[in-house]
Amino acid sequence: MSVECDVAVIGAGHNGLVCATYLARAGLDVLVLERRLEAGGGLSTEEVTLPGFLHNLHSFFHDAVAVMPAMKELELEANGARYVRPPVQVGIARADGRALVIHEDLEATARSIARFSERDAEAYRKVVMDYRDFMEAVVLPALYSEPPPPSATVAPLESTPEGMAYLKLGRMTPRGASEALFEDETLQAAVLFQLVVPRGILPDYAGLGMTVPLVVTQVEPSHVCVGGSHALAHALWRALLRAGGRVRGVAHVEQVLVEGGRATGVRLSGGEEIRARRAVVSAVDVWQTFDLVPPDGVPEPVRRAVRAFRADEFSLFSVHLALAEPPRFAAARFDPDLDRALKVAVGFDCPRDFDDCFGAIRRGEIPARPAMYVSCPTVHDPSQAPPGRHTLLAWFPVPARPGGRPVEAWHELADGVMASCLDRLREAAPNLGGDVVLGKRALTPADIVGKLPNMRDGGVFMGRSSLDQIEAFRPLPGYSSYRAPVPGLYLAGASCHPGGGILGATGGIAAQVVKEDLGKGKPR
Amino acid sequence: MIEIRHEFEVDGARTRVWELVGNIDAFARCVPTLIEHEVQDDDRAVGIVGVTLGAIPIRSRVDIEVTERRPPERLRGRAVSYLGDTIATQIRKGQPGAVAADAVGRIDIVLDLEEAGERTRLRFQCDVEAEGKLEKIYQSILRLKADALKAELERNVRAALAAPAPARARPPAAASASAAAAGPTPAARGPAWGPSPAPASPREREPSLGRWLLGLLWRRIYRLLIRIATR
Repeated sequence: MSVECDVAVIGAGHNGLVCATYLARAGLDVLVLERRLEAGGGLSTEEVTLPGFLHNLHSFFHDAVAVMPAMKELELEANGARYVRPPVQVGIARADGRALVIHEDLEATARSIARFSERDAEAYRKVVMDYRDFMEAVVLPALYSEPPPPSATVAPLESTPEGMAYLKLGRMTPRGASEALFEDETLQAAVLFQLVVPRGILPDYAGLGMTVPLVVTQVEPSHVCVGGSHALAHALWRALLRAGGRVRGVAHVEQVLVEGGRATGVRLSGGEEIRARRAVVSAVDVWQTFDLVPPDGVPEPVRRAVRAFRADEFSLFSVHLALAEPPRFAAARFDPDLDRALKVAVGFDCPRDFDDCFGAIRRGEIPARPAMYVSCPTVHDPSQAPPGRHTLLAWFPVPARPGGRPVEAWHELADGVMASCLDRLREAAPNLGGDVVLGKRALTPADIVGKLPNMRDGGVFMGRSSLDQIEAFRPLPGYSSYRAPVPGLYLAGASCHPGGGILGATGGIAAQVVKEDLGKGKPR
Repeated sequence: MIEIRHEFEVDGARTRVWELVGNIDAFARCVPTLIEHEVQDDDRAVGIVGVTLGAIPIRSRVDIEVTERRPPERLRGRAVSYLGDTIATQIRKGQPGAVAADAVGRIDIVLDLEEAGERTRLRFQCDVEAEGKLEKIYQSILRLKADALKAELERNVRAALAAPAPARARPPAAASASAAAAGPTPAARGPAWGPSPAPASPREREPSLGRWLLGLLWRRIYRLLIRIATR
């Protein structure tokens, strides 16, 4: 049996849905094929503890929604995606009882920093003044454009001392850049904390020092999706259907059909063939994508390069709690705004804590003392729990293969690791004990891999965000234009620029490329 | 395509305003983003354009050509911006189409002058075609800077008109400007009408209607000869 469409899209994660909706709005007959029963990919919100308690199991901090073109262009708010932007973005809950808090408001942040370092408060203001315009006018739009060649990002800057100073900062590691700009370790930690999640950038990644001014300028503040992250998936789904697109669930693509050297459709497990008259778009990761293409469809050097594209270095162990009250951090006695922060660092007091955490992960060890990203969504969106109740999520970076064992080993380790996390949480927020915790559930890297094969090795960014794997080098040099080596096959997943996270970028850019190639967009 | 439209009025008759805008050197000094320029002939100049975003200056090179003069009412020009001395540019330097191959932006400019009583209205249209991958960045920068740049253009033109009447532009006449400057200001760029740093002869310093008409006629003849030669 054969089904026909203009464009077949593999994968109904947010990038696949964004791409499909743009193409459907351009008048193409688009069919999205999703192996799972439901669309949304990492946009997953489920009642995993108790009825009425909505837990965001993967994606949660939606940083780019204020700048994401798809929000307006696809009318996602009208289709049900609403967001809250917490004025208190980040808090560092130090073990010594002090807290540093990053607000959306610059002066409020500077006052918090000044309690640690007056010099750094001034330095922080200067970084914002020096870099905010550049971040807004150049860096953010670059996230939503095909990556230019490296020379194009350097040449406009290298003729002036100030431009060279920025390029020098960019050559540093994030840790080096934060140490160059700020003297206080807690502030350095606050910067690095915002880079690891949700950007996948580790403190020692060479050549990514420019990400420090990106987070300091707060041009991409974190947002909470009202009703849970899955509300965005719902909105994307509605937008696609309203544009005339189709989605089929439980559709496991087994192969991309290549005829006459061109991608002509896909075959599902079970033998059904979907014929795509104009294009096939893969919104899954690059490894799966190239596994779907017949052996003679892709040159061997390209296959080798794809195999060498490195997965993320860490996965996440998450603890989800149903609570009778929100967490009250001990360090809120130092700064009450800590209890209102969207993201609270527990166990990341200084850069050395990142060394300890990721050093252990790189050795295949579970860090001895959990260091976590903690958030209480219901402080910002009460609809995610019954009235007066709360949810909590804690993300603990861990290796996908603990002790070198297969990822499935996590199933037997889960309870013990969750207990360690809860102990650590109670040190930071002593009220999280006894009758306050109404329900709990852990999700391990094995659960991530089992549910979302896109997230190879439990990595949530679909490929390491190191300097050699970003921009014009993502996923491969020569293939950063969203076109696969097989004509008619396109790449729209987060293995392409700008990478993982809920940006709606890869899908949007890929759609533009497909439209232009099919004569439905602006000529190139 | 990024469209920029602006209009404003200045004191002075249209013919007087035309003397400014029709003079590539003098008008180049009024253009806000043009930090440095070197006149190559009456219709061509090369330069450096730039904007500063916070503490970060962004620079690119530009080739400018006047493509139509209809005195005193319309001036048309074209500019091509490119990233400068990349290795690719160096290798291709001097070859036909080299600049176009490296171009990251193409700008079409139309400047119309209309009489408005004793004043002159300038209507400025600028269409910017940025190379695909950079278009969003160009759009974003222009969105951020457009109002300030329009205001600066107005100030520069008014200041230039208020200065003494011009000498004829003589190539080359590179403006001196610090590459680290936040952007050109009328003061930093020097008076729009000032004599070139190295005038060819004392005669060239004095304005002459007759010489201007002769120059206009010569330019028309020159273009006709080029068209015939390239047919």
